[in-house]
Parts: sequence; structure tokens; C-alpha cells
Amino acid sequence: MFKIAWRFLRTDWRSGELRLLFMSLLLAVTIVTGLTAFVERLQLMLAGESSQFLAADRVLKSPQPVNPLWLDKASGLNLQQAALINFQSMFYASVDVDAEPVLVSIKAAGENYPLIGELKTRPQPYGEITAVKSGPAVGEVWAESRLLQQMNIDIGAQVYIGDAQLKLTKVLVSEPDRGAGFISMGPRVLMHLQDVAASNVISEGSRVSYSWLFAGDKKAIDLYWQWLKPQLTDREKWLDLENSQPTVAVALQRAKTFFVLASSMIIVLAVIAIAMSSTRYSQRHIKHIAVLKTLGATSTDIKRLYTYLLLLLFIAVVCIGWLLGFLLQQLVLMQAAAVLDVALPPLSLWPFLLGAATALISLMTFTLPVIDKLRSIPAVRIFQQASSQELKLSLTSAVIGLAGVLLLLSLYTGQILLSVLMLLSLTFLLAVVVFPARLLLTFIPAKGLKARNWWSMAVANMQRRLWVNALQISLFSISLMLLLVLIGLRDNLFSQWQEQLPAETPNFFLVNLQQPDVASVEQWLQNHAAKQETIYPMIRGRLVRINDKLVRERVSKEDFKRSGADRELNLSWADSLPPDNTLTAGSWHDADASSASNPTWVSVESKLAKKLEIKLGDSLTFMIAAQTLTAKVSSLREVEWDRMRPNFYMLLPKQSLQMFPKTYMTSFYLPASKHKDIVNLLKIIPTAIVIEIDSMIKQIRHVIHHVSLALQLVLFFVFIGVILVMFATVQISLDSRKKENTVIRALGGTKKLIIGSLITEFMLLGLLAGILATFAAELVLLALQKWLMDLPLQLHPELWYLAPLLGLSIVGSAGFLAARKVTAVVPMQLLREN
Amino acid sequence: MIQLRDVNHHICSVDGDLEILKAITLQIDAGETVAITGSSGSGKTTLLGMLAGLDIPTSGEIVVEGSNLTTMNEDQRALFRAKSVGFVFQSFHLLDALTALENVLLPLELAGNNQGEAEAKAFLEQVGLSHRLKHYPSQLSGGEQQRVAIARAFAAKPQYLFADEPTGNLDQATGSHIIDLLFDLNRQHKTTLVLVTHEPRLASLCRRQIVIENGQIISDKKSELSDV
Repeated sequence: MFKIAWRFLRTDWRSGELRLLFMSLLLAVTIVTGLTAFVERLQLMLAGESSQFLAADRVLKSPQPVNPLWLDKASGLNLQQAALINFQSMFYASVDVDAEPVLVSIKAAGENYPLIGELKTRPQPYGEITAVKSGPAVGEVWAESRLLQQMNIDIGAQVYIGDAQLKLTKVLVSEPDRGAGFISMGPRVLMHLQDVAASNVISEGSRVSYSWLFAGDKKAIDLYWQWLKPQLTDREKWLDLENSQPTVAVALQRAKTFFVLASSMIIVLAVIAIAMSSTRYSQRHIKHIAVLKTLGATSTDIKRLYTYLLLLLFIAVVCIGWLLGFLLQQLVLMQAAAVLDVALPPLSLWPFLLGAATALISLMTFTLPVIDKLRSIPAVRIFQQASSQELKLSLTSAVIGLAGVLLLLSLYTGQILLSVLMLLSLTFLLAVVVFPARLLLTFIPAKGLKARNWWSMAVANMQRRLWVNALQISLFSISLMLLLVLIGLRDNLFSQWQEQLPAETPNFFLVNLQQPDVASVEQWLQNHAAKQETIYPMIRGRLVRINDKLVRERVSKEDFKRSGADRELNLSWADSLPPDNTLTAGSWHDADASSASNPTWVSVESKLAKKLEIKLGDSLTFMIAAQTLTAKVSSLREVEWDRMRPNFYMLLPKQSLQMFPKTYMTSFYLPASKHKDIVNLLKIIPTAIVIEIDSMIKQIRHVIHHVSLALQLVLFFVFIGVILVMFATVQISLDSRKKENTVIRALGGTKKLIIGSLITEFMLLGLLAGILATFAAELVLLALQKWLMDLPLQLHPELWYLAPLLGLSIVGSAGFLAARKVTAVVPMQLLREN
Repeated sequence: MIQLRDVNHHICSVDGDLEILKAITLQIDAGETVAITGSSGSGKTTLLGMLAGLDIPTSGEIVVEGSNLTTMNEDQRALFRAKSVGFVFQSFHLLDALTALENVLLPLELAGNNQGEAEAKAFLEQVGLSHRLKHYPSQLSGGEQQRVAIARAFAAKPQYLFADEPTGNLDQATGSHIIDLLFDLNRQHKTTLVLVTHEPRLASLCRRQIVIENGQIISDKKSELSDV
């Protein structure tokens, strides 16, 4: 039997009967293996890159040293560790009592810092940037260039932090985890952890933040977190990417959802193609089986024969598919790794297993059942050619097929519920689309064959196979719809990301400005063509009462701390509602719209309001510069904090705040070529503090850029899947078309007429499918935007012409190739068939 | 009139060139009824295909009414078939997706006649199938299908009718009925009929019998009997 199977396989290959099934299976294995490996490794690469935002995989933060047992446990789990202490201190350039100190923001880093990412330094202010993997050595200190300018010191100078005398050895440009706490005041200074003790600057009650950085195997980290979680108090914070960099975390999360959706769609497309080519392959084997049966082959023999045959096919497809899949993702990832400047993550066995499983499950659920059915048909009936009827989809084979797809989807997404939902909605759509497709087909009246010209023959052909064509249109439109949905989602994600960080997003914050400085800052920014945001006043105040209750009593201790209300808040006023703010309740008053009849109002950031249970109409009492100010809550605002513009928890009327001591702040965009001029600004206004967030913005953009590239590539894979389904679908009717058109040619129909009418017919089918796909895609997109991706609802007019065009061209091309095959049969064949 | 001048045809096979037709020279006059007989593999079906312009020979000329089929391209030959040729196949070759009426309309439409429905109906009536106009081939018996095929063959009023074992797939009684029908219509429409058959009775009904063996005509005689 094995020999016969081998012979069948060879003849089938030569005659071309096997090619479509082989190609569908091969593409499925290639795409599934390649894409799974691609997504897996890309995620590792991006996770690696985004971990740089923390300089670690996870960070434990605490205002005081933590239980040493916690750190021992982490060591026990083989987690890499690094310790950090952040505090503010005076920085002296000389021991001279008259020397003027500068308040700096110090990061004292232990060995191994940073665990992930690099520190960027310069040997001299504005020298060449070098990336280094560790911080300053014991006895050394690195500082930002503006501090050097401000204090007029050079590299090599002896400097003092508390009692410690240290040597300034490098200019610090950036730390990977700068973004996590960029609101720090004062120039950044990096020193070694061991020098902190000698400085004697930290005593009990000092405002210090301790951080422990962890990196390592994801499982070990999860295990550690499970162990640590119950022991944490409200003083400690566990940071991951999500709570330290929400912009990047949300972008990555959405990209992941996109990948899962796209990959599942590829599986569905591949399976549709396999199912269709399997049926066609089996139909073409009816004669083989009939002959074998009449020659005495038993049902078991036939089952064994086809099991061998499919096994051989499986082995061939999997080996070639693995190789192609591997090469495909390797080529793309090697480029990405070079751009991202990271090592290519290792390749796991999972993609290969999944690729093989796709072929195996598809063959077992789509090909074997059809052949199994043929096996049970009596030889006589096969000779009577009843078998093509018998091969029609039965309920059992439909259920087996659906179960196969479900199994594959679940393996792929790892989420059974999502897979069930996807499968149900696709099946539902397929069933539903058939009816409008059939309706559209009947719109054009025609009778007979109308073998006069391309158009009338095409229309007549379309209408003669109403249900088959309606089914073809449904398959075309569903596969097109999947592609459109992904294009739409990609565009949504792109525009969302673009909106978050558009070109010329402010890359500097300027704080601690005094009233007289405002005009000179504006002048300076104007001279440097900087894109400036509004300059806001900033009044430090503490929220003490909500209505008649002290804030401390009103909310739990934990909420109180978490909300940040235990610290001083920055209060401000604004002429109009600031750009990144949206009112969620109440109404906005102009900044000076407060009078005796209209008591002082306050507009509160909505998340803080929720935490502190502040409602419209509540009266809030602030303590500002030893005075109290009471205001009524007039509105709640949702604030987009990640737009790199000054924003405030509390906005009050101007006349209520202007008598209090205040500083001013703003943010602005300055092109990279002018960054060095910042020193001049600091010379004009020495008290101003400049916070550079350029490197953070660049990091975020970098990640988003690569996620976008990956989305494009995945889309390309889906596109291949769509083409495959369309070609497989066209094959459905190829055999009957071959016979028909050969008869027509024998009766005098020209090749031109047949090719023309076939192309016209398929283009029309593609066009109708495109129209239906557009409607379906918009509906599905709206649902996905609302329920899965949490994106603003929007329509996609670009799809409205794209889908019909795509349908027209892809199905038209498939039709052209089919037409060539159809007309390759010479009419003489009709005489030979006898 | 169809003229074959020194027609040779060979195909490539694993054993080298295989000669199917060897130096055939033949003339078929308008209105003749010709039966081509011979054993299996003798080349008779190939010869029929050549006469009908379905294929062209490796060498030699086939001239029909002064037009040389061998110099025409495929589409030109298709137009010739649409205009001048009718076919009856052993396996009927009706289009499954078309009704009986639509099948008969097909050659009319291919020949550019868009108002042929009445004619098509008349032909179906002539073959006794006026009650089966809207039936699909799968709903017809073998004999009925061949009658539709005969109606289709005559529908475009061809000058030449080619039939390949027209009774090969039918039982004897049905076969006889089909033969009668074919010759009746042939007489009425004065068509030149060329058929390939194994059946001596069918062959004997034709005025001229050509016997072919190993790709060569070994006998070509005209019967004394007039057409039935």
C-alpha cells in the first residue's frame, strides 16, 4: 500500500491535482511557523527594549530600606539585582564656605545598574556620546552638563556631596529609566551607592526613595511577585512597564491584541483554503477509489492507502514549510534587530510545533473525513458518478471541521473563549453574507447562456450558479473583510499613536520661573523658533478639607497616599480649558469668572476626584502659604498626562490665587540642533530648571515605530492568506468550467470570448465581494474599537474604495489564471473522453 | 466540400513519434453521408476531429469550401465551427447547468443569433422533447440527452454535422430511435453528415463508408443504396 501511495502522490503531483492542496498546506505551515516565531521573537525584542524604561524587568520602590530577606529570596530565584537610592541634596564645587551650592537630584547606583539598557555619557560637555553598561566607580560622580555650566566646573573637578569628596569624571546624558521619574527637580547627578554612607546626607526622616531593580526569567519574576505581593505594605511600590510607562504599555498591549487577531485570521484563511482544496482533491480521487474497489481493495486498504498518502504529504509540507517559515522570519528579524540594536532573541520550538499542528489538524479534519466518506460509498455508485453529490458537506464533517479550526485557534491564541467567539462570528458572517450576495447576483436579469459577448456571458454564468457564486462571494468577502479589518485597526492604532506623540511634541519642561522671567523666556523661545506651550503659574498648596471633613479622615490611609494628596499639589489657573483636558462633569468657568456672587470655584482632575470621592458642588479647602482658601468644585476634567505639556490636578480662578507666592512653568519643543543653546537660557535665568525629556520621547517613538513595522509585516502575511483563499475558491468551479467551456469552444465559442467572459465574471464577483466586505468590515471594526481595543469609534472611508478595488483585482487575476487553465484544454479532448 | 490533401498527424510519446494519420487524401462532397469505421486506435476519431476543425494535422492541408483550416488559428477555426459545424458526441456533452432549451440555444447564440428561442423550441419539438424544455441534463435519460444533443447540433443549421459514436452510450432500442432521428433531420436540412461508428447497421445507413486502419484509409466505397 505504501508503494501505491507513493505512486499516487507522484502522479498526482505531475498531473497538478495535488498542487493546490500542497500549496495551501505549505502556505499555512510557512505562515503559521514564520509568523508565530516572528511575533514571539519580536515581542521578546520589544519587551527587552521597553524594559529599558525601567532599566530592569521590575522595580521595587520604597521610602526606606526593605527587609533583606526579600532580596535574598530574589537571589534564590536567580534574579539579577541592582540597588538605587534617589534623593535631593546640595552639591558643592568647593569646600569654601562662600561657595554657592546647587540643589541636585542624586541617583546613587549600586553594581549592575542598569540591569537593562545603557547609560549615555560624554567625556566633556557636548562631546561625543558614549553608551556604557555601568554607573560611576566608587569615589566618582557623573553630572548633567547644565550643572557644569551652572557651577562653572570642568571634568576632573573635585566636588562635594555632604561629607563625601568625589571626582567628577563624566557628563551624564541620560539614564534608561529617566522617564520614570523625570519630574525630579534639579540637575541629575549619578554617584556610586557605596559613597552615600560617607556623605552622611541621609538621616532618618530624609526624603529618600530606595529602588531595587530586578531582571531575569519571566517565570522567576512571576514567582517572586507571587511570593512578595502579600508582604508589601502601602509604602512599597512594584513597578512594571504598565504602571511606569502607560503610553508604551498601552501601545504594546494593543499591538499584541492586533497580532493575536491577525494570526488567528491567517489560520482561518489557511484553513478555508485547505478545506476547499481538500474537497477538490478528494473529488478527483473518486475514480482512483472506484478502480481500486473493483480490483478488490477493501475499505481498510483504501483507508491505509490514503493515510500513507496524507502522511507523506504531511511530511513534505511540514519540512518545506518549516524551512520557509524560518527563513522568512529570520530575514525580517535580522533587519529589525540591526535597527533596534538588540540581540536576536532565541527561537523556541513552539512555532514549529504549531506549524506542524496546523497541517496535521487540517489534514485530519478536512481531508481525511472526505476521503473516509468516499471509502464507504459502494463501488457501483462511484461508477454511477453519484459520488460528487455524496461529497457535499455533511453536518458531521462541518462539525469536525469547525472543531479543528477551534482547536487550532485555541492553540494559537491560548484563549478558548476568544477563539470560540471569533469562530462563531466568522461562521455567522459567512452564513449571513451568502444572502445579500445571492440577492446582488439576481439584480442583473439574464436568460440562457447569452454567449454573445463577454459581459452577457459573464452575467449569465454568474446567475446560473447562483448559490455557488453566492458562496464564493461570501468567501471572498470574508477574507477581504479580515484584511480590511486589520488595515482599519492598523490605521486606528497608527493615528492614535501619532496623536499621542505628534512631531514637535514638547521635549523640554521649564520650571521654577519667576514672574519677571516670563517675558525673557518668551523672548528667548521666540528667538530660537521653539514651539512653546502656554506658560502656567504654579502655586504650591495642600488639600486639607473636603466639605467639613479633613482629607485624612475622609479617605483611607492607603488612598490618601496613593492619590498624592498627602503631598503639596500644584495649583494653577488657565484662561480656557487646557488642550489635553476634557470636561467630564460640570462646566468650565473663565479664569477670572469669580466674584462675590459667584464664589471661588475649582476644577478637579477626574481620577484624583474619584480617589478622594470628590463630587461636583463639594467645597475644597486648601492650605496655601499658611493661609486657607476654600473653593466649590465646578467641574471635573479628564487629563491626558502623556502629552508632555504642563497639566494640573486643580485649576482655580486667577483672582483667588494671584496673591499667593508662585512660580511659572511651561514646556516647549526645541529642535536637536539648538539643544546646546539651553545653556544660554540658564545663563539669562539661573534659577530656572530645565528638564529634558527628549530621550524618553525618542524611546517611546522607537518602540512604537517597530511595533508599526511589525503590524505592516503581519498585514502582508494576511494578504498572502487572502490571495490563497481567493485562488482556492476560484478552483471550486474550475472542473465544471473546464468541461463547459471546452464544449462551448467545440461548438464555435472563441478563446477570446471565454477568457474575456471568465475574467469579467470573476471581476464582477470580486467587486460584489468587495462591496459586501466593506460593510462587514466597518461593522466588525466598530465592534472591535468599542469592545476589544478601547479605541475611539471611527469609520474608514479609505476602505470603501480599497475593498472593491482589491476584490476586483485579486479575484480578477485569479479568474484570469483560471481562464488560462480552462482554455488550455483542447476541444479535441471531448472526442477522446469517450 | 471538404478536401484533405496528404494529411499526416503524429504525436510524441515515450516510445518516440507515434503516427496517428498517414498520408490521408480524401474529399467529402456536400450532402454526402459518410461513416468512418475501423478498430480502436485506428485513427478514426482523430480524423473526425481534423475534418471538424477541432485539431490541425502535423502536415498536409484541410480545405473546407475553399478555406484552408490548417492555416487558421484556433479562434478562426472556432468561428468556422460556429458557422458551419454541428456536433453529436458519444457522451452527449450537454452543459449540466443549462436547461434543455438553453443547451439548444447555445450554438445559435454563438453564431450571433439572439432571437433563436422559437427555433430552438422547434428543434426540441422535432426531437420529441417539447415537454422537457426546462429540464436539466441530470433530469433526462440518456436517450433524451442525446436527442437534446441532436437538436443542438442542428439548431444553428450547420453545413456539416459530425457525430462520434452517437449511439455508443445507448441501448439498442434507444440507439435505433436516435439513428432514425439523426438521419431524418439530416435529410430535411440537407446537411453533410460524417460519423464515426463501430456499429455496422449505422455505418450501412450512410452512403459512403471509409475504413481506416493504422492511420491509413484501407477502403473507401460508396454504397448503391441511397440514404435511408
